[in-house]
Amino acid sequence: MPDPLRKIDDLVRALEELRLHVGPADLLVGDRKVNGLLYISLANACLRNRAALLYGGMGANKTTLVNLLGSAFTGLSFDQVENLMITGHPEQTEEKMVGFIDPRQWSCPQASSSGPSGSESSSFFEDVGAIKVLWTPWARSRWKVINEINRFPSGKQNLFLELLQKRKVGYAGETLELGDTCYFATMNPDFSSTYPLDEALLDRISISVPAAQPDFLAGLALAEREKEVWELAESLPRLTIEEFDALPGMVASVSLDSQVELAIISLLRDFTLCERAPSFDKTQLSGGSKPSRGLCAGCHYFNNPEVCCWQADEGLSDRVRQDLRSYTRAISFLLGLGGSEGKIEVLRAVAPYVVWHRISPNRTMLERPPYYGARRLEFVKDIVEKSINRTLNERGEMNMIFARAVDGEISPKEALERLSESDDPIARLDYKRALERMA
Amino acid sequence: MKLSGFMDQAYGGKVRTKKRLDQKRGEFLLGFEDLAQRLKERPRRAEVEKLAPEEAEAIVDLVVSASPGDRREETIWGILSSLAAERLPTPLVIPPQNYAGLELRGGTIILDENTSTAGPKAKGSEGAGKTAKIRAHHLGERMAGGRVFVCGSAGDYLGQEMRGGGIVCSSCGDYAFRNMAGGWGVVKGDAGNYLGVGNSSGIIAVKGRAGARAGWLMRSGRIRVGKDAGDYLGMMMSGGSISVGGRTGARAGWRMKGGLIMAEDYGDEAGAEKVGGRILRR
Repeated sequence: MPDPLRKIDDLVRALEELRLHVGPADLLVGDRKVNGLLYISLANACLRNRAALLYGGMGANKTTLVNLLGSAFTGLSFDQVENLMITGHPEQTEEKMVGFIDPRQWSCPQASSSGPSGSESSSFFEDVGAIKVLWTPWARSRWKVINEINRFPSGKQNLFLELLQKRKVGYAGETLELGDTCYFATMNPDFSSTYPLDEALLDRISISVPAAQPDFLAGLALAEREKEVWELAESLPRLTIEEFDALPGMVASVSLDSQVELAIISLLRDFTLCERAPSFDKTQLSGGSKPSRGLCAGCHYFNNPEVCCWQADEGLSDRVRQDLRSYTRAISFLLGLGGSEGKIEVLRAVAPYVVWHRISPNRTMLERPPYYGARRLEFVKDIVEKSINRTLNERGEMNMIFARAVDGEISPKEALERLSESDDPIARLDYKRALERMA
Repeated sequence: MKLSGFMDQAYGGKVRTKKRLDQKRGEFLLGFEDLAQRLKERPRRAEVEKLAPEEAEAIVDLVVSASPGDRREETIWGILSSLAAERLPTPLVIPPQNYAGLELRGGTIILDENTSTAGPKAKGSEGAGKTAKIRAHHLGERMAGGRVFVCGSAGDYLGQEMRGGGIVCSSCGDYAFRNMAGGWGVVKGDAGNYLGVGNSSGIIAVKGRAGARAGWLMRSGRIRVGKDAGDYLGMMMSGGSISVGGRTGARAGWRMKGGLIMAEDYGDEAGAEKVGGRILRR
């Protein structure tokens, strides 16, 4: 019976003892504090087909940490994992990253029949004969690291969009099914040689976690590290293939209670609902008509700190809901909260990291203290906290009224009358419309 | 599962009955800088009070998070500190900073450098003494009630133009209790120059020494100096009384027109060019 959780605990301890990762305990889950960068990376390693973005300046242990985890989770050596990684730069080509046409197929016929497998012929190419593609180790790997993703020009970033969306990669008419894969990307702040990440790509990145430079104490701890990283990496505990494969199933077996599910749905609606957007759906808004462009002027929700809608330009897609559920499960699994209550605290801790890279905060709010234009994650944490608290407390009665009307225990008309006293955006824009359709 | 069952599970039978979003009380403020930007060049207390939050805790948050950049912002911060102290049931404990307790009308402010509050530190310049500690100026200025306790030394202009209330500090810089019209001040150590200049009322007690020109142009009120006083004590005073436990400097009571000076001993030319009033030796 594989027990990967015990090995992951050993791995966390080993990373700390070997001074391979010495970040502060900055992720508060209930009354427990853990290192956010490490645990969110671990959570991503327990999931499949989700992408984690590690964001921070040089030397913040982003790439090394991901490669160390890759070594521990896949059983490969640190060097092998490093070789699998691709690094962004403007001259990086699709051939170097994904694969290239095998030239041997035209020079020696036997090579065409013994090339690397995993490719499928498309119907178009069946007529003219299949072209053999040599897929790169990165393309075939189930642990994909894209280093410095924002050094890829926008056109080349589309490759990753396709990859994350379709879970397959194509080249010269051939397609490679990627299977269940762990995706990691690292990103530096804006430099002269970097490019902004496309919004669609950002939405497909499931979670983003900031990485900071080692503080004084961490620096002292690092000074005690006398061997090279690759040497120390040999001492890390390693998961077997069976244990690695068992992880997604174990995470999926963690159940989420109604409280968490309700908080997730309400959080998405809090960000997405807009009284002035088509169908009250803020994801429908185009560039010129956004809260930051004056859309909210005169709206009675505007400037009310309890309401989220005006504080972010974008709504949240359904991918956010899936990501929130997955990472809440994964962190609960890692912290041993699988069977216990308190997952709402996990959601509180995880949700800001799932949301913050996907939205553009209201500039006026973000520029003010205590955010000073730079503490975007803190800003999103505060909004998320407000939304969850409101759902768990003030929204109780309106949710019960709506639920009873949907279940037929009271008439839609009565529910509408009782909800008329509520000015909560979800009650006004979602519940009332639904009840009017039912009436 | 029915939706009501789902909601029942989510709330565990504990449903709050609040229906409406919180109504905004006072102006919606994004922070101290936001408040400062909305006020004109020389804001009055009433204008700050109008924009400030209703809740004492919210004002305290503003006070603690603020980093006033110039004199205008310092005065706004000072008024906010007074509003917070007046509304709090317990004393407001903050690090000393210029203009703390400005126009205070009630409540208690304790200015403690060692307080754990992660608030702004005083930006005042160092005083004339050799102390290396930074001292805040204009503490308790124009206060009309309440108490200000300074745990340490106060800077210049302590309790200037105060009309009521009381201030206690270890020592103070120049121009302490200038133009005082009421209330009381206690200095447990030494006071700087120009103590109680132009006072028309109020009581000042200095346990240590006072610098030069204490009680200059004093019209009424009382000053008690426990030890020696500097030159020109009670210069041109027209009323009130000054009592000195030790020796005065030169020219005590120079050109005085009224009032009383009483000291253990006097320096040279005591009572020179005196027009009225009395100079007594104990």
